[in-house]
Amino acid sequence: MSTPYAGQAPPPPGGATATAGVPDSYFTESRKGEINELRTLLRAFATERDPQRKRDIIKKVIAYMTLGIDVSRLFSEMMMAIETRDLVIKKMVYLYLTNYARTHPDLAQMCTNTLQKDCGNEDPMVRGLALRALCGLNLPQMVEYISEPLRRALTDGHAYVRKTGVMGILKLYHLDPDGFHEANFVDILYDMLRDPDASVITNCIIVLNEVMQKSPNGGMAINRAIMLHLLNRIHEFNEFAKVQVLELVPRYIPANEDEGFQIMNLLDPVLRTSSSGAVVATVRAFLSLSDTLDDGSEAMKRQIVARVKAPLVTQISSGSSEIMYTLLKHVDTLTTICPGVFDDEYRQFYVRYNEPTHVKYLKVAILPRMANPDTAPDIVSELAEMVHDRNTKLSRAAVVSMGRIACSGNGGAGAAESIARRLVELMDSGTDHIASEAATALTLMVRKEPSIKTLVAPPLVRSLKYIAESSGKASTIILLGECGELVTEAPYALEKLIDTYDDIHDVNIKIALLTSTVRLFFMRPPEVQRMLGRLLAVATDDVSSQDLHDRALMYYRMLQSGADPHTLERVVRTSTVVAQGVSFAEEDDSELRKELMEEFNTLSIIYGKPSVNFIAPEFQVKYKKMPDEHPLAPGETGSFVAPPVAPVPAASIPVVSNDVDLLGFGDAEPMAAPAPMASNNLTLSASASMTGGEYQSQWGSVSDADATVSDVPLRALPSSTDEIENVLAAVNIMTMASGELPNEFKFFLYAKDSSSGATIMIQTNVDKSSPSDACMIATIKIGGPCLDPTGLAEQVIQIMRMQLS
Amino acid sequence: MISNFFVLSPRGDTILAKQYRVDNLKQSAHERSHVEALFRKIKFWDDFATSEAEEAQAEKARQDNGKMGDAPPVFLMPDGLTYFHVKRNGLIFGASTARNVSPNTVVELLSTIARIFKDYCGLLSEEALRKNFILCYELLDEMIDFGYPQVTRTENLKSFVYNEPIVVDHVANTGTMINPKTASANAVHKPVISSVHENGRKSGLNNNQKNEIFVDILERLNVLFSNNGYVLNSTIDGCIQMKSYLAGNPELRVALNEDLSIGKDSRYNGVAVDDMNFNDCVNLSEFDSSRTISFIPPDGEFIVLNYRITGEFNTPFRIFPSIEETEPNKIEIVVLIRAEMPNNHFGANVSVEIPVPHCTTSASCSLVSAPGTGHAHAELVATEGKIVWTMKKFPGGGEQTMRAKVSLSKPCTTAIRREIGPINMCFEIPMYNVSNLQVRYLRVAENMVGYTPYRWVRYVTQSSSYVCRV
Repeated sequence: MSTPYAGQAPPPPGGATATAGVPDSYFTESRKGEINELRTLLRAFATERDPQRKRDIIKKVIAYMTLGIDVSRLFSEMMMAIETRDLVIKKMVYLYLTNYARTHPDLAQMCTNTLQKDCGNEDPMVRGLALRALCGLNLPQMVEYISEPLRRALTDGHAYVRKTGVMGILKLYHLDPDGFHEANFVDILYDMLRDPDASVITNCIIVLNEVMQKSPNGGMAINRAIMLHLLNRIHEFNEFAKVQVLELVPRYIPANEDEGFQIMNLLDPVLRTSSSGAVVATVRAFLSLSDTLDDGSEAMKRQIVARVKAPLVTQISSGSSEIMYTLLKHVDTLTTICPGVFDDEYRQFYVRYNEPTHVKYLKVAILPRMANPDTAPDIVSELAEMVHDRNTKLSRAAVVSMGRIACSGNGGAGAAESIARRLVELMDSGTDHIASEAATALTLMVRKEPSIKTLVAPPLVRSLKYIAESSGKASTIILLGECGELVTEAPYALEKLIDTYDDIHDVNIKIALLTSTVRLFFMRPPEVQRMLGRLLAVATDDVSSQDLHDRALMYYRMLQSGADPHTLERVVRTSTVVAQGVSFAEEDDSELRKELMEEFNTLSIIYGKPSVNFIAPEFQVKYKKMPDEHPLAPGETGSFVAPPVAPVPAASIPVVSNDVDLLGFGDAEPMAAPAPMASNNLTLSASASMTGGEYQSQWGSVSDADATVSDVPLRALPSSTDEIENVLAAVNIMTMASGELPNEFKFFLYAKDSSSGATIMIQTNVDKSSPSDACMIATIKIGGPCLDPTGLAEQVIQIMRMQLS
Repeated sequence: MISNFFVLSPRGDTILAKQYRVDNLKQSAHERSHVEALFRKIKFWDDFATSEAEEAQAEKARQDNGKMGDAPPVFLMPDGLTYFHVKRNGLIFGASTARNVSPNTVVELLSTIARIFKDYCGLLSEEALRKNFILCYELLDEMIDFGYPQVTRTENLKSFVYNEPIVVDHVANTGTMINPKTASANAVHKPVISSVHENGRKSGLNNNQKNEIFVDILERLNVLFSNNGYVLNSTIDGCIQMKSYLAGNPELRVALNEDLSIGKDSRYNGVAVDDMNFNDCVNLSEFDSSRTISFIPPDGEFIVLNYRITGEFNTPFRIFPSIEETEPNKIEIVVLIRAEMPNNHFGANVSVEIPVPHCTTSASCSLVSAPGTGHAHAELVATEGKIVWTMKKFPGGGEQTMRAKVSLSKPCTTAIRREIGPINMCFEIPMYNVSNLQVRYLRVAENMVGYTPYRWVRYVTQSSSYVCRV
């Protein structure tokens, strides 16, 4: 395995003094020899006085290790070296240890004592290092030795140790998920979000997100207090940590519009930083917030995209080609959701000479999206230049993009015609790949702009002769069928192909030929009749393609059946013209785009497909917006404060005090506050009545997507259904039906809003399996006239909570 | 976030590798072979390999181009993991992941790691990394824990690092420079911490303790000319880049042109940039009023700000090509270049590439140079299918002409004529910038007696994509 490396072995690093002059053959000779030599050196380690030489010996072992040579046999000797004050040596031994622990668990266990001892060292650096090594051994049997030092580390006085400890928790989680949950680390981590050190907080977010990935929340639970706390401190975080905080924002639902705007103001300065990761994370946060602002209107989105445009373009032009690639993919997505916003920057998307090919292709694909009547002429002539690029893929892409502009209709009056002229010229140019691609682009264009047929028709017969590439040939044949009335020689051009049918190997050409001949037949029956007969005869015998065979057979039977030939005419001569402004049905990807927007700033954007397609199920994370409700009345404990441009020390922001109760763990008055503000204005009619049939049909008429699901904690598990029914009847929530199953109660409830007259239907069930924390899950649908169904549903929930909790 | 990290040499050998997660049990056993597969994929990336139907095209393109294109920095490998890579100085910095991560963040992380390695090793090369691999692992341990970025700033890392870098002599780069911003004089090729020489001797302490700061105002030009000399597109990507070796990290103040305006709509007489972004450390409180920024410079190389200018500016060189068919099988290409910057400036290391048709058999080039031009040479490089014309020095205000008589193996058609061009020009103009953006002053904010740092300020204009259509 390691042979390829041995031949070109570099001088062992650091060992230049010791091994100078040793020839290359040093590495290819027997391994045993050199390991023994290292062993002798290591034995002398203890007696060696010069610290530099001591380092060199260890360094040499590590050098072999990284070259892929197995030096695990030196394990016990290496462990002797762990007792040292020299941190350089200690770090190297730790590196060795973590590398081989998995393959030599029993040996690794021997050094736990030393590591545990180091975890109590007076130097915080040593404590941190030892802890990291201990957690990094990756041995399930070590869990019992890890827990204690880990717990101590979390309350360490030094941020480095705390930060390492938090990461250690994550490692522990992967070693022993069950033990992890018993140890109650999650609560500790939530508490530690208040840590004064930003790097500790970041690691807490990371760990919480990962260990709670599979929870219903799809990550760390967030509420207003947590967001408030983190976002007010965002400017203390470094660039990568910022991203961690920013990635929480899309999962957060602001309490109201004002709060959404406050958050945006707070994050705005991030757009000015030079970190592209943070900038794109901010863009995603903004887009997500915009869903909740101004009812998620299109105008709001456009405003946001317009705001982030300049920073993104600057990132693109100042970054490396790699950053450019990932950013362009994101800009590509943004131009599809907000067409037009990037238009005036179109010159930034011109291909540059020295760019890698993947960036060039992307730019050529983005350019058509920036076409409007002002920019289109420039863009088209730029693309026309690129058509002659030496890179054939680029020149094809340029042709495709020109076609796109014409089909989009964004180019203004006459754009399609002038593009068609250019493409016709290209189709006639004699360069095979360009001509072929141009023909294909034109087949799409005639569906949008039938008027260009007069331009397309003249060179078709000539092109058919010259174009060799099969896709181009098929496209030319299709065009001949489309423009049959305008090309006098069309039947004869096709007849030549029919006569040489057996020489055609590409199925697409055959299918195109069949389609076009049938179409021509209805335009000019006397000329085409006989050749169509010949074609159908050979095509129905052709078994190379099912599709071709079946199609030919269908045409044949429809013609042969003697029925009105106009039936077939109606089938083959259906207008394929698609109105301007309407996308081709086969290109309509609004569903996909919506899914992709949900996963903005992830790999999904790069690959252009939702994550389910390329991420293994165990690593999939679902996004859930939180919190469902805002227990705090707005402005009660604090607000998002937009800081001045410069980062401000935390102390000067008055709202963040260290005893903010982030999760409401302590007995939380805020949690108790919710009900009053809600239920006041809802009165339920006392005379509501409904039949079972009405109930069922109304329930069915409201889609499940519009239902509100919430939970109502119960004081205790009810003994019978009556208990709940009576309590709810007191507030005019009636029962349609109820029942008791072995493990749950079910209730079908309804009520009527006396002001609007809307019907409120509630289906609930109470799980009997956990009597200690009994909870009712309620699904609410609102039928009849109601302006704000969700609001109404929430009010009903408030009432139920008051009654039952 | 990332499952493993590795650095590959230009030949594909693993220089550094670290695994953080075992996401795929099958993978751990063959981890190395996957990295090898990745290397092959990057090296022999095939733009056409996406669909089998295009196999024939690929075959043809392979004959035409030789090179199949460049591997994008992010792609899926057959093992189901996503692999990221960035190329720096010929080295490949890579990482893989099984999760749906933010691609920008990972690419940025890899770039950051490369930059930090460079800060600590002095320069980025295979030899430097091999010599300092222990130091690199030490840095890596602090930069990434369990796949997540931790400490990523050069100065913050200092307190965690105990190894001393071994300085290697500056050698020619092992590969093409991806980021031209890294080009710098040798003075800045020293590590940010005290180092030892290869022979184990400590490098002179005063050498590192010297209070100096290097400031580069770098502008990269993207210009596109039509064949009649008209500018079709022009942008400047500029940045102010610094490398600080200042003792005690004092706060610095940098003042830019007072008439600087930002935003597309603000076109006054002064310097107008479309947009600007700043390093995290920059304090902008005085920027709006006096165009002054202050910051505590981080150690190592960093970019203080980036800016972008589109629209008209005085292009330093103008290119005038002309093509004539002298005989059926012969064409004559004449390229005239005029340097339009003041004559106390000059273009250095100028090279001009003129692609010629595939069917070219030979070309004879003759030059007419202005006085003061350094060594100039032009010839046909048949393997690349272009005429390459180089000049050591191109004085401002001067004019250069290259006349090439090209013989073809078949008569010239329009299609063959189209194969000529576009002409690409590469150059660097020292101590000159096109935008007029200037550093009015750079001073230490607090008044410290006897603290006199050396301030080296350079202006450099480089070509990024300087192209003329024919």
